[in-house]
Amino acid sequence: MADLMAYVIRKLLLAIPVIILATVVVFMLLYLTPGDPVSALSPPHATKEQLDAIRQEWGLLDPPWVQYGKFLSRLVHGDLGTSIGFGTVSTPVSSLVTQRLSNTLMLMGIGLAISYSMGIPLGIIAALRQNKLADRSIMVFTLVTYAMPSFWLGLLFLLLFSVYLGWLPAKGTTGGLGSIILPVMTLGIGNAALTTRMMRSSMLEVIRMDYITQLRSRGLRERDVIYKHALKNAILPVITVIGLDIGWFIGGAVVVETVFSWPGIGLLLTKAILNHDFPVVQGCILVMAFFVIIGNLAADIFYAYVDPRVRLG
Amino acid sequence: MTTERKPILEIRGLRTQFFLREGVVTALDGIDLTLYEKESVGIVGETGCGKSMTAFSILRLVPHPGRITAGSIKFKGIELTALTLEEMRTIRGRSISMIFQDPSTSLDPVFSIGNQLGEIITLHQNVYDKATLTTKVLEILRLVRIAAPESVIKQYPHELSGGMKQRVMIALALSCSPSLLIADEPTTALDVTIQAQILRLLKDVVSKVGSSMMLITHNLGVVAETCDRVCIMYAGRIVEEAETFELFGKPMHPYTRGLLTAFPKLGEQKEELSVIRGTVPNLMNRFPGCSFVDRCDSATDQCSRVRPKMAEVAPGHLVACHLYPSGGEKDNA
Amino acid sequence: MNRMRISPRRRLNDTLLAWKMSSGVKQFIADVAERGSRNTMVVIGTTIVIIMIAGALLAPVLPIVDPAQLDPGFEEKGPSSNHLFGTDNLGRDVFSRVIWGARISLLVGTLAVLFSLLIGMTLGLVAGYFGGKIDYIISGTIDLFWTFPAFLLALALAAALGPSLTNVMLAISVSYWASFARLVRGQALTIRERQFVEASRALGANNRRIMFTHVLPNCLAPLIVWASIGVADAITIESSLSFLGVGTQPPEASWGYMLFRGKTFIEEAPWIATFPGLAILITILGFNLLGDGLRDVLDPRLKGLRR
Repeated sequence: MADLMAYVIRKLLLAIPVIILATVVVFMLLYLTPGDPVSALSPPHATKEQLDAIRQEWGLLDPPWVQYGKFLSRLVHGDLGTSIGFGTVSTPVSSLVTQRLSNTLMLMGIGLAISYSMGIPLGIIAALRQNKLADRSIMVFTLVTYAMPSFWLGLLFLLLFSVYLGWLPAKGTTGGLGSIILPVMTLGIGNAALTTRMMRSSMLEVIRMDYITQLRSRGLRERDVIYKHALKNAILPVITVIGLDIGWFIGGAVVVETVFSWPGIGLLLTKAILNHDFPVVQGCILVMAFFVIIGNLAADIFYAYVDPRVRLG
Repeated sequence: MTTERKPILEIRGLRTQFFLREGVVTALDGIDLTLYEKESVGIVGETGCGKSMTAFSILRLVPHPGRITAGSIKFKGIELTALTLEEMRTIRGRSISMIFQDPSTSLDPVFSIGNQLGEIITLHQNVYDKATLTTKVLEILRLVRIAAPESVIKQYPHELSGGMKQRVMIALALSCSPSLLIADEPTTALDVTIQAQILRLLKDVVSKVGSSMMLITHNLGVVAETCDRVCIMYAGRIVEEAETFELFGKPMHPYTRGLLTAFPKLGEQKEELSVIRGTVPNLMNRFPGCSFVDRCDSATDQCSRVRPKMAEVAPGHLVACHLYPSGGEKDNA
Repeated sequence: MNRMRISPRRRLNDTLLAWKMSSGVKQFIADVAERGSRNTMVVIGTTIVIIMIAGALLAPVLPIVDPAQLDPGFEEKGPSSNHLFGTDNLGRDVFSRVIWGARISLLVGTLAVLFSLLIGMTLGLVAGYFGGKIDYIISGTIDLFWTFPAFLLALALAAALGPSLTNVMLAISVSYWASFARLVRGQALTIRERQFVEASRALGANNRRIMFTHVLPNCLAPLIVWASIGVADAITIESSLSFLGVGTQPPEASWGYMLFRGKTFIEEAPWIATFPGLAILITILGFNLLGDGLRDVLDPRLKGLRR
């Protein structure tokens, strides 16, 4: 276990510069906007006094490193700036984000659970029945779902279950189970395809390994050979990509929340972009980037816990 | 020197074939072999001659698309080829065990040594109590001369050296005191310096447990150290069989002779290493007659038409070669 | 002189045969064509890709309605004999808009992948071949870009730069290059150690020559596979960005943009969104099949299919 602790500490230390890098990139986004940075930060038809005030507040007249310093210190205090669009009252971005964060996390969490609880068993079945009907149909299924962009799958579900069948509500959190089903299924099924394929190829590789034949030669029950030994080995490469999957889910959440009007950070981001509300855009992206990095970190640690060979890395 | 010992393993006419898209490969073409209690027999031959496949056939582990297509394998009187896979499973690991060639790929990398050993002991000896299990695991690790077994049981395969891993393999194989241990090239993947250690260990432990051993190797030196009897295999057939000293002293079959002369002897001055000319025959299209015919300097016309049968040319010494009149029967391959 | 009537198919076969006899690139292509034609995925994928590209290229000359032409009185009508895919809310023919949309979507997809490829290949080559500090810096960068979801990065960039066709291409290129860089770097690292490189150097070849004549050709096979899958990914990203409103803008109406507009009418006139959506799906499927199929043909050991 000691080596695991050492690994965790190493990874934590490595994550810090990455987070800092992310803040730098997000900071620089302001300068990518067309025109004077101040116009991205101010409401349309702002007066000269308002523009000057904003310049002052954001320190746009200061040299870049000072600006960044101010930006960073504001971040550390949890200040993500003020929205220029929502409502008539200036709402701090951070409160907009915190309101919606839990919704997005819920969506992602359940989506991940669905994806893995579908993908792993399907992958195992496909591997154990290689080239038979079960395998081929699972492969076709993954091919088709993998090719569907999330927004299209979402729209399809919307059309099918809301518009034509009227079973499920189309928008928002009108309550409980009904409204969350479609979004999480969209996310879950979209990612399940990749999990299935990885699981299948990993499993196929593992069952050809020497140690599997060895285990059989020791008289182990076939179900122990497959579900205790082969499975644990085969699932490792699949787990390595949990980090990347988390990244995908965050991106996918933006799209799915937009399709289903699910009140999470993704929808906030989309609306902010269309409203040219730059502070909100910046805030959302920063928060998302942060979660991507943390997600990858957690996945790495989890992986090291499961596979002891990695702890040396 | 004939002691009335009971035969543990009797293989008669074993044929194992692989059904590929391109054709049928006959990996084992009519093997006859007998192993007695508490003896060590070496199976020697070059790569691809079928030695490992003999082991896999005994344990019914022949990989797809292969199958045992003919012959009988009797273990203590039980016909193994007639057993269901479930019945076979009860024999594996308990009555017949096998050690594979490469210890680094033969151990499950994500389970600790203690866990893997414990699994087998629980399975075959129905030991569920954790304390008893640990005791037994430590016991067997000491048997294979692993120092500090208490820390080894917590370790994972990748943390051990090649020699240690092979000791663990031996421990796994002998943990349930099998009557027959099959060792497939147990030292090939190890450093030369470790090889001798492991061989000696193998010999000691096997005799301590009272098992018979079938040692498969391509290295005649290994056989000389550890085996009572030797079988020489070529292209899926056994061509010579004798007690070790007898074989080394009076090799009969041209292939055996070739093998022995290929090794330069200590103190001998040689300009060139002698080789056996030619290459191993294609196992897919078998021609009638002796399989060694293309590479044999003493081949006659009869050799390419008629397959020689194993015949006793001296007490306990059998050869399958037309040089030693045996009345070979028409090959029906 | 009398020209014999040789069918185009026979001509194709003869050419391939002649190429097989030669060596180098021609033989490689002939080999792939032969093995590919036996692989179902490659066949289906290639067919789809060819149809889509043909549709895109031939749009101006096809006998279809002008996509911008309004058909007053016919707004939001479903599929009919006049309008195969129906009309949108302004009375425009959806069928022809879908065909014209192919131009945009495919253009963005292929160009974005091309830029990605160029950036990735260059950086990957330099990193893998020269090693040392350069490699350390470049690999670190590659890792950062590779673990970060491309879609999110593209979204951030497109949001900042403002929606337009070029910005979308740029955003995708910047987000996607890491996959190619990894691939080329890996190859460069392995090839660098090989004996024939030592031999080349001993004969006086300079670095650039070695890189181009030895490293690149070996990367060719996996690059083709990844490029094909890359186009599929690029189209996915572009259509998603356009769907959110940060992608292509009119008059360049990509399929994604059509869905952006069409989703408001999803209940009254679902065909407005459905048909462009189907076009996206089939195109992505086609490129994926092509990539996967080619991978099986070229080297079944190639793994690591990643977003």
